[in-house]
Amino acid sequence: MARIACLWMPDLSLAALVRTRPELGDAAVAIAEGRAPQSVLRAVSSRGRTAGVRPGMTAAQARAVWDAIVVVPYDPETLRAAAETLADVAATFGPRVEVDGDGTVFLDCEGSAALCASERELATVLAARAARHGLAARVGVGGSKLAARLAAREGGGVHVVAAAAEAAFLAALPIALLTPAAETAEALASWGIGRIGQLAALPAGAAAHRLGPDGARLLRQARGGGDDTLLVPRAAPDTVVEAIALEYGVDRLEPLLFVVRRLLDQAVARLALRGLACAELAVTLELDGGATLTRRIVPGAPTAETKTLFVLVRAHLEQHPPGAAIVGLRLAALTTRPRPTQLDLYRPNGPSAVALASTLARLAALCGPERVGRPLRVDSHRPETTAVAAFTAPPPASGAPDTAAVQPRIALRAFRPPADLEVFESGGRLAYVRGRGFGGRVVRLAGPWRVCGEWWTSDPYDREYYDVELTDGGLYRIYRAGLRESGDGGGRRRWLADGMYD
Amino acid sequence: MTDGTAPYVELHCRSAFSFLRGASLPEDLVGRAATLGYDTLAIGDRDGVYGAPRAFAAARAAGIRALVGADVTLAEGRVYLLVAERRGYRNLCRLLTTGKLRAPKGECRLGWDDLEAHAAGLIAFAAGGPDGILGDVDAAAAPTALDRLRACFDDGRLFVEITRHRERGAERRAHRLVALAGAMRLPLVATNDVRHATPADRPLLDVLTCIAAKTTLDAAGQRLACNAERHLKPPAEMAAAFADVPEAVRNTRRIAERCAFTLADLGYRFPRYPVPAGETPDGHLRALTMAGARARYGALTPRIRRQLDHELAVIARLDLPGYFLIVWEIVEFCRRRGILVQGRGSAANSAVCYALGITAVDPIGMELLFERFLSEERGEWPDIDLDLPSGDRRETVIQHVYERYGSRGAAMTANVITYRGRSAIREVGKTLGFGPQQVDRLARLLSPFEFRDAQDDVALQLRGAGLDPAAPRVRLLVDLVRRMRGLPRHLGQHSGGLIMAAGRLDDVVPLEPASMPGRVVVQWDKDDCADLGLIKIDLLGLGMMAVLEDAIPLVREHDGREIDLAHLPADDPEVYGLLQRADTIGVFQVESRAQMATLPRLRPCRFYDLVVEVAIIRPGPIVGQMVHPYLRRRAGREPVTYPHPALEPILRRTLGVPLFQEQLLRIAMTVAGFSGGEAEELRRAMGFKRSVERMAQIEQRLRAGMAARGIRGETAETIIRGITSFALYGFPESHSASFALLAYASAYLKAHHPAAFFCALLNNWPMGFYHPATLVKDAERRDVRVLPIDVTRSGWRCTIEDGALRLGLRYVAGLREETARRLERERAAAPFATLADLVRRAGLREDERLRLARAGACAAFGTARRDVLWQLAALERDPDGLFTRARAAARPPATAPLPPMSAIEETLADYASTGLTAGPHLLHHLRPRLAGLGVLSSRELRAAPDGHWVRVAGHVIVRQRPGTAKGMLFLTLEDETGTANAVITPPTFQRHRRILQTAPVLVVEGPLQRVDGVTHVQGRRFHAVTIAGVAPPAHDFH
Repeated sequence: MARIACLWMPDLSLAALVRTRPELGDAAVAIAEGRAPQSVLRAVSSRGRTAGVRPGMTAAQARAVWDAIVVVPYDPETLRAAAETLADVAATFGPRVEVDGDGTVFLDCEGSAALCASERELATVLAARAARHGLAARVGVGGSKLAARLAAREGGGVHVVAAAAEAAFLAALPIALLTPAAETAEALASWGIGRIGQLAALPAGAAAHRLGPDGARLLRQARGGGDDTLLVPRAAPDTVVEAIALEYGVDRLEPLLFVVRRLLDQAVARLALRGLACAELAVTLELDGGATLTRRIVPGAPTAETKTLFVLVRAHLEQHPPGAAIVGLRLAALTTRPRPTQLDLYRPNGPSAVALASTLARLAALCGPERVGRPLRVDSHRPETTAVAAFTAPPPASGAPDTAAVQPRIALRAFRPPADLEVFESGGRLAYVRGRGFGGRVVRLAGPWRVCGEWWTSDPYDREYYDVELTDGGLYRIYRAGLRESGDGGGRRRWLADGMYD
Repeated sequence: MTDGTAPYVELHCRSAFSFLRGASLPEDLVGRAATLGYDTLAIGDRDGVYGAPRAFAAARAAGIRALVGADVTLAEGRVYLLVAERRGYRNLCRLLTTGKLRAPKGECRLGWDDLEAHAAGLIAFAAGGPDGILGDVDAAAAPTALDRLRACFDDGRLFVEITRHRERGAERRAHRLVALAGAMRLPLVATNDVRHATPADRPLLDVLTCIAAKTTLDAAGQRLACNAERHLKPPAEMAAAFADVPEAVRNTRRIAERCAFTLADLGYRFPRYPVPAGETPDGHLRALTMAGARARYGALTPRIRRQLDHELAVIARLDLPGYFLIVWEIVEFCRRRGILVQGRGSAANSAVCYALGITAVDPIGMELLFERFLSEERGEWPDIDLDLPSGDRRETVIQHVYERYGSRGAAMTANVITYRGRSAIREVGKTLGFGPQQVDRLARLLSPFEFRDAQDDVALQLRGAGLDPAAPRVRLLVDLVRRMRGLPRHLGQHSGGLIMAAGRLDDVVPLEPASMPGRVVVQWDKDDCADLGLIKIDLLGLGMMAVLEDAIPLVREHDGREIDLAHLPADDPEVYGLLQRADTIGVFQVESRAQMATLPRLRPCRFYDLVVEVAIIRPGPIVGQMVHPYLRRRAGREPVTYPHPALEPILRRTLGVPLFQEQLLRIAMTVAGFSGGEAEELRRAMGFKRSVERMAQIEQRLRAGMAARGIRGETAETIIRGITSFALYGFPESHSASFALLAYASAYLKAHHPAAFFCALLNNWPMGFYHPATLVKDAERRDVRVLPIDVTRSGWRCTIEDGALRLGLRYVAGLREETARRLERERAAAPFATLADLVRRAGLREDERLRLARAGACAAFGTARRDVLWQLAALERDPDGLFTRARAAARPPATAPLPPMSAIEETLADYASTGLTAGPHLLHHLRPRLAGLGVLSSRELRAAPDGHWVRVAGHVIVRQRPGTAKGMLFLTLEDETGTANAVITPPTFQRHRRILQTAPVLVVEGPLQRVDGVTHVQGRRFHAVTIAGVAPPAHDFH
């Protein structure tokens, strides 16, 4: 006789969320689906429900009811990761595991006596393992998937339904537990049929005729019939995916890394359940505004260490700032079997690829990512603003060098930081300029060119630039900084040399 | 310049009417220009002349000239066009109209051919830069573009525009432009391509740039201006900046002198009405007026004749007969088509309008002042608003006007949507990088009554949204939001204002497509149109007009009475009884909770009382604290006094309390010596969106005027408070009188022909204040028998059936009108024999069958609701077999093996499928349970003693927290016996916020308070009543 164990989470989407963000475990939290402002709550935590928030409300309605409610966007990836974790837990007891569409996991536990003393003990162990992975699953055992599922749902924590007691167990339960199609559910509700027992009491032929195939299935299940014990074996995916959706945009690295670390911990724990390692890590960042960025990070060799992966991700993020706040993060670890490496007899031992990648990443982290890489122009009017792009090895030289005539261009040798100047005026015009190592009377002058901006920040700029040719023969770019930049409470604006033209 | 004029004239300014591409209002640009010593300024917005009227008005006030221009978009870039003469203005308007009407809303699509066809009378500036037609100037395309432009703008009307904004890169472009102009022998012109009035406005421009680019300040980068140089600069500074090209400066003055056109020379003419051969407009109007007056008044008394003669003489002197004839023609069109129409607004002050059938209020009987409508002193066009039944019938009238005056001869006025508090907070908050939740929360917390926002209130609201008011970015947010208020956001369509012109309207103002298909709007709002003398006729949709129009034939058919709205019995006791009892659910304008709370205290007993009632529950009288003094005086509990003896003649009719706009104008004229023109300015400020600043200026003049007449201290303050509180929300007496007429008519119908009245109301819903479920129960309380929806009897609309109201199929949620109409046709051909017969002949979709069955609409086939569902389910699976059987015999089907519906289940099924019920009220089912808890019905509540602790329960039909009530929450609960009101104080509301905002059925406990016949429970405790089902929603206001 078939025996099926079922692992079921009362609200998988909430459980999945709390698994990635344990700090929300006791909070009034809701998961909203759809685009604001039409987003609708699909799940609400018990604390949120106590405060009066209900699924089906819009996010705005929920906040009107309880303004402290945390509304998190629905993320199917987070949900899928939780369901896969349950499946991984179940798979530790046997290969015949099926993941249902709603994330419920079934395990064929027939013959499990070899592993546990009783079905109850098996269910208890499954529940404990799931809990270690952050999922407080309920476990039911029955003679069919339906019975096991309902035992898990209705039985509290761990519930085993004996074969002889199944009909009585089912009769008192609401029909909704049989997951009727919406149309069938609507028809049954309008007929006043609410319990499985009531459905079972209808004349089978007439009712099935009216309700169609879905109704016939329900009738069969209500009467304890039907063969749904066959499990569709699960094809374990070759990636371990962990994801998180944030209800706010994270625009600083530290909090983002905190989240990364947690996801990596979960991914690595799942790798351990499967006995696999990570060959490649795809990091997908969902940006505020809807855009997504995906970066692939390949460790030098397959690894199942959180620390190594973390260092690589950190370095990568530091070197490639996403440019917008992050509202979602997804890590997909491509799995592989860990391989022992064979050293090359004819080459000197260098650092392993993994170690090298880690070292470079740590270096960037130590020096600051802004000091590792190549300079990059930034979209800003502030003249000295630059950024550092990821360092990439130059491509191999190809073809003949470019010998086309190059127009001679004047180049500015920038002083960094800009050097203080003494400036003397005569008749309201610049007359004499003296800086460290240069100076002279002004022979010719162009300007002023004005730039001002970033007035909304704590570091605004407001400058007047001049190009001056001095009697020392040099051509300089100088500027007079604004009061705030000058930092002089006396109302004097500083003069600075920005650079010298070659 | 030897004559003292500045050498430089700024000829290129974009105002905020370039919608996100300019940061200063035209008034601010003009004001700044005047301060800097300019005698002329040209404002040219992007693809429009949106800001021109306001610039013109401001310039006239400042004593300078405002030239008109526009930045016009071609595929290759922008060309700036400046109007030199009237022909040029006409061409510019036509050109912009062409570009706008062929492009999607908000865009302009023009080609070289269009430019060539409309170039006469215009001067063109060609500029470089990212948007300019000359691009980066180096390219070969620049000379080609100049050649093409020169072909359009010959005779020295093309200039190469150079700007200097102290940008290093742009200077190279300026040099190239000078060289190019020299090479092509084209003159140069210097401009500053101004985007804001002062350097301090630059942050606002940056914010607007971010909004346009949908980005934040932090991410905008080089999309922002690199400095704050695009402001209006002193002429001498501009001349100095272009000292190396002096001819570019001299040309600004030459061009300014060449541009003779301003909006003073608009050339607008109202269409002429085609009078019969041999008639003059004057004579024709007189003939129509006298004929109409005889029909209205019967015999023409000397007083009536005198008034008509006076009005006709004024109309003739102002050359307005054509205008009245055109309005009359629209009214006649409505009459011919059987469309109810009634004038409102100041037209109700005119006996000529009354005689012509334009208005329905007799101004002579009402002693309304004609000069409020039309005065020779003001010399402006009258404003006639016509109320029409909302929906298709109003659209018919609008399309008639389009047809009669041509698609380019008439257009709707625009409605310039400006940044208000909430929209400004949302947009500025986003650009400053605040999170969406913070912005949302702050915007929601903002008081809807913005004019009351004091600085400290803002700080409080910021804290409420979780923001620190002292944080620099938050302070920036507050500052920017304040500066952004009132800036144009986009162009909408006015609800009904229609402008017409003799000839082509697009010779006068550019036209644009409206969002609604088949509609075009002008680029100016109604105030701008009025300022420039464009005549507007408002065609406004009113749901109650549609109700009256529908009810009259129902009364004729079923009650055998002919209702003439113009001749209803004037002092019908039943009507006033209904009003005094506040039995006014469904009655126009007096059905709100606040109106119902006032009616028993005001106790209207004549028509003028109703005029007062309509006007008194408005923010103006409420904020001005006029309501309670008036009610106390009316009840004799307070003596009738006047703030000043001179005000007695003005305020006598309203017991010394100013309630109407007209009274305030007369007060201003009497106590502050305002001239007619100044009073008119005050009136316009009252009805004007931008009035807060205007009112502040007027307030100063009021104080000065009163002080000059010895009126100071508390008296002056009382008068000022009365006037300023009306500034934004005042209601004119004539307007109120027109509304009161509709209120009276609807009350009359409710009192005497309730079945027809509710039938028409239900057929025109959504409208009014209440859900249909409440209307149905109110009808039943007036002894109207309401019959349920029945497929063998009901039509799409509700009908009267043997004196009872039969609910229509339109209330079956999800049933298509075409299905219902087919059902009606089939039933008219032959009654439905069986359910299967119905399904087959009416072509019901599966979902529609079920919806009808669940609504109980198939009960006539002799089976219970669930039996029908059981049958229908079988029918769905086996249609052929059942049809065969149906044709064979119409025998009653076997009973279904399903549990029968309980009574409450049937009620809930009604609510779920139709939103209303003709059966027992939901509370009827709950009554035994509630009675056991000591809950009184609303009827029992009326007998409970004042001050007693009571419990009442009901379905919450109104949930209201008006801004004028200092946080009080008002609830109206409906049960099977009527309605009960509850009042909840702010602290109690905060404690029970969740249940009060969400519970559909509520028990309210607290002491009963009864004042002047108005009863309400002071809610202290609340319990939600749980029901497994759907109750109709409340009418919520927060």
